[in-house]
Amino acid sequence: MKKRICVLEDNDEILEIIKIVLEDENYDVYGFGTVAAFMANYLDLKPDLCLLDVMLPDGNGIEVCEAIKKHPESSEIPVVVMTANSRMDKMREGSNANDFIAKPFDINDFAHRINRLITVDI
Amino acid sequence: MPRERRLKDNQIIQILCRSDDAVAIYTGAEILIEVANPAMQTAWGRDASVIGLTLSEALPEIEDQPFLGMLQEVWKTGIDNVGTAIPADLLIDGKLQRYYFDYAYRAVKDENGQVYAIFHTARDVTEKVNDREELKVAREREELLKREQVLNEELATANEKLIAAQERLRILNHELEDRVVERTAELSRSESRLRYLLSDAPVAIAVLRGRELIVESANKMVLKAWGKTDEIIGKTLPEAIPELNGQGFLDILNAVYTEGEPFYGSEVKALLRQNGKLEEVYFNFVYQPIKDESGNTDGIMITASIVTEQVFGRNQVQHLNEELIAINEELNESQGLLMSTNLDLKASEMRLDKIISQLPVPVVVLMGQDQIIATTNEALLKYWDRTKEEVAGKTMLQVFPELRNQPYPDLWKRVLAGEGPVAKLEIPVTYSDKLGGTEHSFHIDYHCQALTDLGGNNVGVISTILDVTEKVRSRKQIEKAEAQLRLAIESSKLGTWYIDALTREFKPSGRLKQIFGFYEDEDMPYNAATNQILDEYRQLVTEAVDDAILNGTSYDMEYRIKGFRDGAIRWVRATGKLYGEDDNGQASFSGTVQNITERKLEEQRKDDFLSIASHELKTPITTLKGALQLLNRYKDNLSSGIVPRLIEQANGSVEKITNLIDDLLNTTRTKEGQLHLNLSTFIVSKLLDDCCQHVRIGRKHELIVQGDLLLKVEADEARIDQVVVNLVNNATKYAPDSRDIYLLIEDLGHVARISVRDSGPGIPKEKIPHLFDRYYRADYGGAQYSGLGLGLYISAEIIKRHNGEIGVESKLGEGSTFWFTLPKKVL
Repeated sequence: MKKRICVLEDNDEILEIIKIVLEDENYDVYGFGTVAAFMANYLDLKPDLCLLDVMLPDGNGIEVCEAIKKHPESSEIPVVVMTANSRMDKMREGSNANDFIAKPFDINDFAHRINRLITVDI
Repeated sequence: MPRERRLKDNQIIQILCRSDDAVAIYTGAEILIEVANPAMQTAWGRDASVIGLTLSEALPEIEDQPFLGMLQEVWKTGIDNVGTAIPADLLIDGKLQRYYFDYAYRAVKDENGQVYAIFHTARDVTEKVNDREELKVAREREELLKREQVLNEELATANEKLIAAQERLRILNHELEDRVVERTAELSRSESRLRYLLSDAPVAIAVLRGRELIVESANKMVLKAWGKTDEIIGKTLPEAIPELNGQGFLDILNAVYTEGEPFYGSEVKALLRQNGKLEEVYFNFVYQPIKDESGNTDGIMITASIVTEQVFGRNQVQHLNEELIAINEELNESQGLLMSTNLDLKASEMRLDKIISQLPVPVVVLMGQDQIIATTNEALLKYWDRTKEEVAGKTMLQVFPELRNQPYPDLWKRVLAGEGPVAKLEIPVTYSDKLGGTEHSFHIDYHCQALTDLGGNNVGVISTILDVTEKVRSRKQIEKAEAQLRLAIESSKLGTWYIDALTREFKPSGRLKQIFGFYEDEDMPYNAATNQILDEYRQLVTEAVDDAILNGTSYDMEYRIKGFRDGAIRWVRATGKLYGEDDNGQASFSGTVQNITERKLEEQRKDDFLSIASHELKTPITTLKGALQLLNRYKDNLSSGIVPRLIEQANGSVEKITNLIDDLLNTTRTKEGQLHLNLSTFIVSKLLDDCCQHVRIGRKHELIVQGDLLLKVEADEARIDQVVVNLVNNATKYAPDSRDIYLLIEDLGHVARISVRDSGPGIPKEKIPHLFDRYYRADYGGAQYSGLGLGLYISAEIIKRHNGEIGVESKLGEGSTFWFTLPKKVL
């Protein structure tokens, strides 16, 4: 069975790129444009990894990360946060995300990081 | 029956004229000779040439004779005049001779009784009148006639005179009557005058009648002197003035009455009751007896004048004279004393002069009302830039006329008048230099007081002058500098503070207290101020202050504080420096505090903006990079369906990046005023129809253009398009559920108004003022929207460049209308 990745990204084009890249890595990718949509569906999907953008129309990826980690059913799921925000270092300090990826990213590096976390998980 | 006459008139006359008697016929009052027969002619001594003449023409010699008068009388009265032996002097043969005639003048009347001729007959009887009696009679008659004539004339004259006299008499009578009336009136006036005169005479006059001395009349003066009223008229003198009893006057009056001789009194004292008191009154008086026709005394007239004052006055003078003599003696004694005192005075004056001359302070002594310069000293002469000779003995105003309009002359006068000493500090005075040209202004400390003589009278003033011009100038400079500093501090809104290095006394300015959230007039000790510093900074700040004080360094820090009252967080920049010891040996530490919250916020916004900008740029770059990298992967499999999509993404991202960079550039350009407008006239509705294709394609929203579809404006079409796109984008971004977006065009006369209306959630009131600020993004509901937040700012700048206006109307829950105006024609 393919591994599942839930992606929270409001920019359609970036989501498309991510989908192409991750599907190439043989993942099933489920994308959500809003925090609400993500939170409503991710648990049911039981993803192997959550990939979160930070700046969202209805919320903040950091908070979503905390919510995931707090939730007993998802506390073990690795979470990757990606952001174009230059204050990423500061974000990193206060967060319990497993990894931070800066935009724009190199797709190979991007794939590598995702793989690492899922593979490790297994 | 009478037969008709055969003779004609002239024949009749002719026959009659043959008479031997003299015959003549006259007519008229002029006695015209109608007929004169030869006999008459002979009698006259004339010939027939007399006929047709008047009698007086024919016989001029009868002029003074009565014949003409008689004839005229006959003519007038119609009464005949007959006479005998009338003498007539006639000029016969050149000789005037007397003849005598018996004559008749007979009046011939017509049927009405009117005389129309005189018939004159005459017979020469000269010879007959040889007879003396006839002559005599004739002469007598002549006499009588003459006398009668004369008498007649006299009578006539007398009559005339009588009439004239009568007239004169009548007039005189009138005059006399008038005069009588006048005289009577005058007399009564005179009488009144006399009465008044007597009554108001400045001399006391009274008339006493009879031995009883009854007061017949008394004028005002005498009544006053007696202290009585006119009630005493009619009373006897003793009754009227009872106090006279025993004073001798009554006896004197009796003597005068008896002897009929006047009595004269000089400066005689009488005691008279006046105003209830017995007063001494002195009189000069006369008792003059009044005598009747028989020469007997029947009254006494008293005339008196009151000489009380003179008598008293004279006594006084005498008294004074005695005193004067006594004073003179005293004076002589004092004179001696004075001489010796004068010598002492001279000595002390010289001492004073010596003291004054040695004083290092300018001193001047001015004497008298004219302020004559009596004493000066070296310091003064130097101050005045004059020599002693130039000023000694002159008045102040002679030497310094420019002082006239300054307060000094008045001041000296007042001190001299005794108003007390005057001390004035730092007062201005202006002197002209010696040549009288340039004026110099000084400030002086001035002291002036009166100089007195032995009697304690002010005779002059002594003034000391201290030139404090420099002191005043420096002080004013310092004051000016301080004022400028205060102004600078106030305008910069700096708070200032001061700490005494030793006592740590902390003195904050009012502004400083305000910054820290206290009231200006409240106490804010050092600890209270440091308490307001946020915990994270407090230690740093206090350590920095201590370090500066201890080591004399300065510091410059930025930190945050919390307002004492309002709790508001503010950014401040504080500087401090240690100042070395001042004149009192005190070191002090002072500095400034400035509220930099605004600046910090601006910096924050810029930081935010930059981070957002970089974030916004990085987003399409991410897509671009991803797309290109994927394309690289698929470069050997270009037919894969994914490739076109990736190329499209790449292009789209580049487009987005370009736009974002344009926005950024626009911001800086508008800021620097470099926004250039490409003007053209276009139809607004067409622009609106053509714009925002990206939105129309998306089909999520409907753009409805309404209003004046033919309205044209002159503007930069591309820039206006940019503005509309921005407003529409905002509408789609912030009101995503508002399906219909209305674009309204209105013609407002000089301007066109274009509005973009949505029916979204609306904008909170407090955000509206900031919407058009740079870097401002009104995020609703805590979420953050993509975009640089420059759109409205740039739109506002574009509209401003067009001299238009931009604004928004919004109500929560009802949607927003963003509008802008453009002048239809560029001016």
